[in-house]
Amino acid sequence: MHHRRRVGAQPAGRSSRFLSTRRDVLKAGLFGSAALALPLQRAVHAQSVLDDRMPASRLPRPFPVPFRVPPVAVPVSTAGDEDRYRIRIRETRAEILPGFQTTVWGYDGQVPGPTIKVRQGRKTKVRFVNELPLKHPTLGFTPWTSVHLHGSASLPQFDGYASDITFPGEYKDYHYPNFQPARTLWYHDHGVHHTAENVTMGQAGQYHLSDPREDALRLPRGEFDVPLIISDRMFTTTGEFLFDTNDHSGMYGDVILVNGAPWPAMKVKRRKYRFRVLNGSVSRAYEYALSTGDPFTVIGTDGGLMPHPQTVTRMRHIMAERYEIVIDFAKYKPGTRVVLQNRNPPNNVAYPDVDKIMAFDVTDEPFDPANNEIPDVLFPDNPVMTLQPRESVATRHLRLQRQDGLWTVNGTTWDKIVESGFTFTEANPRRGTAEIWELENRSGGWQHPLHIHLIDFKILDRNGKPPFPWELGPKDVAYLGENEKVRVIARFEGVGKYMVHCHNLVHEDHDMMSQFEVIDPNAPGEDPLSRRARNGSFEPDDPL
Amino acid sequence: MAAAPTKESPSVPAVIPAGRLAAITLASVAGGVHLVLIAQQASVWWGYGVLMAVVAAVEIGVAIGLALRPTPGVIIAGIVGVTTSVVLYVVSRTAGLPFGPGPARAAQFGDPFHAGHPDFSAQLTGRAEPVGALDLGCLIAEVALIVLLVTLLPERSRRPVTNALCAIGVALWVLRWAGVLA
Repeated sequence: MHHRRRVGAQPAGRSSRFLSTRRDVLKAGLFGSAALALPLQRAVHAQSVLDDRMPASRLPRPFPVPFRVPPVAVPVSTAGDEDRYRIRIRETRAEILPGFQTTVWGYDGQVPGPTIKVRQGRKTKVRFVNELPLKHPTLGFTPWTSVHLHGSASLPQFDGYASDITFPGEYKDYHYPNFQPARTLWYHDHGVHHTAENVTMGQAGQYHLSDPREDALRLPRGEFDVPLIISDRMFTTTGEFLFDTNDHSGMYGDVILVNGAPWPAMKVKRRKYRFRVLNGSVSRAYEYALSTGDPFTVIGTDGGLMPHPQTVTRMRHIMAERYEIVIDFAKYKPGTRVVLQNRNPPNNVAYPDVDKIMAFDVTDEPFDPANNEIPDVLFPDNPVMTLQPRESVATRHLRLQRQDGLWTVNGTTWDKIVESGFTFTEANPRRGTAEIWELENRSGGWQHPLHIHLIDFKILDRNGKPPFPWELGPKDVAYLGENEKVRVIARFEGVGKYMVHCHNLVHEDHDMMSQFEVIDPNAPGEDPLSRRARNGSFEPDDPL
Repeated sequence: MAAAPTKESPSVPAVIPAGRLAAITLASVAGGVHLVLIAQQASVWWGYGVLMAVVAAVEIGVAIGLALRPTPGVIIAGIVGVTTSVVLYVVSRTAGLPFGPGPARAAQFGDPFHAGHPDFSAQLTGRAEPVGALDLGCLIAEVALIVLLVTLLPERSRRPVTNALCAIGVALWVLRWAGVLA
């Protein structure tokens, strides 16, 4: 009878010797080294990313760098009621930290991108041309783009749908309607899986929509109407942007940038200034206060002017929110320095100088006294702000939570949307109806800015209490601190599929996105993927 | 000088030799880790869940086989199975697995340019995953298990096995140097 050979059961002294020859050891070693070293090398590399961080001693001190305002975009052509722009997304080098050159991927090569200024009722067509290199210099990903005009009720195919991507060498024309009330919008990258990297590289800019109502208010304008894009970055020892997602929880920089300059100082005249403040950070929320302890006035939120101005001494500001604030420097003597401080709200990584944002140096320069007012009434009849809970036809719940190691919206990730062939929707409100959405952050330890595309909403309450004073205006992003619950109401105009997602861009890139569809049985919405980017050269007779 | 082939014992000894006991332990640990990860991986894609289940079954099967019928066939099957798991792991952590939910989803776009574009598929699959402590520990257990399994083989069976392992090791390093693996 044949017995199967058994091994490892030999009597003592007859067992096989451990890898009996040097050749065996070498062969096994070659395999073992590859199997262990390659993943370990990657893990160590991930750990060592921070080893390359520029030390605090080499970072600039706050306030010696002068303040600057992003340039205003100029249309390439104008026809009828439409202004046309061409913006090239391209790589350049910029001196962000004094004495260092940083590789940036900006709109028209600038960080931040140029401000687009439009009047209500005039349409805009913007050709965004992706002229980026095929690979990111250190991260290696292919930089596809998708441009979202945040705050615009754009058609689905022009809304910067995450999977509607434009590859290097392609372009896409975006059409913006500009029918909404005056507001501060911003355009930024929304390409699936790489938004955090692309925005860090510089793809963000403001877009100002103005209207006659706003004109009539005699608010500060011209040089006294100032965009502030606040963000944070970390740098390598050679001055390049450093990327550390903290195991996908968020990117927190140790340098605060305002309009691309580190902790700048702005010379101000002794009068009122209107600041359009955008939190353009990837993951950092701020809590503002003036070093003097003096109050300032909030006049606008994401969707434009509030019904009434709100005076506060501090306010918190999460990513993607826009607040328009007025600071009156009239009371300060020339030579006074007023610092805009950051009180560093919970769930943000603190570094030594992130408690400061920028400085205002008061001068005695003469100024134009016109348009130096804050009216008591701004926009009381804004249709969003007059919405009442009784008008709601449905109540929906969106829970933001970490599930099985994934960031989810009601347990959904963008992967699920893609897997469904983009048919899965979280909600299907009827066109023209109002609904209440209950937004809840169950992730203790995390903050989430929830952005609902297409609509403006009114915050009804926060944890059962009235909203903060600075939130008493039309919004499209809700600050959801840990274990917070916010009820909002909105009327769903427009039609088609739109995204709803966390605006911590690291969470967004790791699929914390879902979508809803506004339904009109008589007029189906356009497919968000119906107007794809085009390859190759432009049409010869195209004015863009 | 190579040792002479051993004469096998027809029955399982009462005391399992230390080397085999270590291999059984390592196979159980590695199989257990994969078992634990099934649900998490299945939540990403059902295919990944199945893959985890198969690897867990193979490794637990190796442990059982070593305990009950430690034949060269069982050992070689174990080496093949565990080595496959290790190679898949290395690829998943350095380049991303070349299969998964992505290609099927890309096809759903119905857009020949984008569906066929390698980077577009890459946005849906093929992303290298981060290295975690648990999976790194499991990897170390698997590599140690492979080495132990080789030592349990009769010497005449070792050479082709170590040659194959050597070839795989060389291939991984070449792919790394060529930039295919990050």
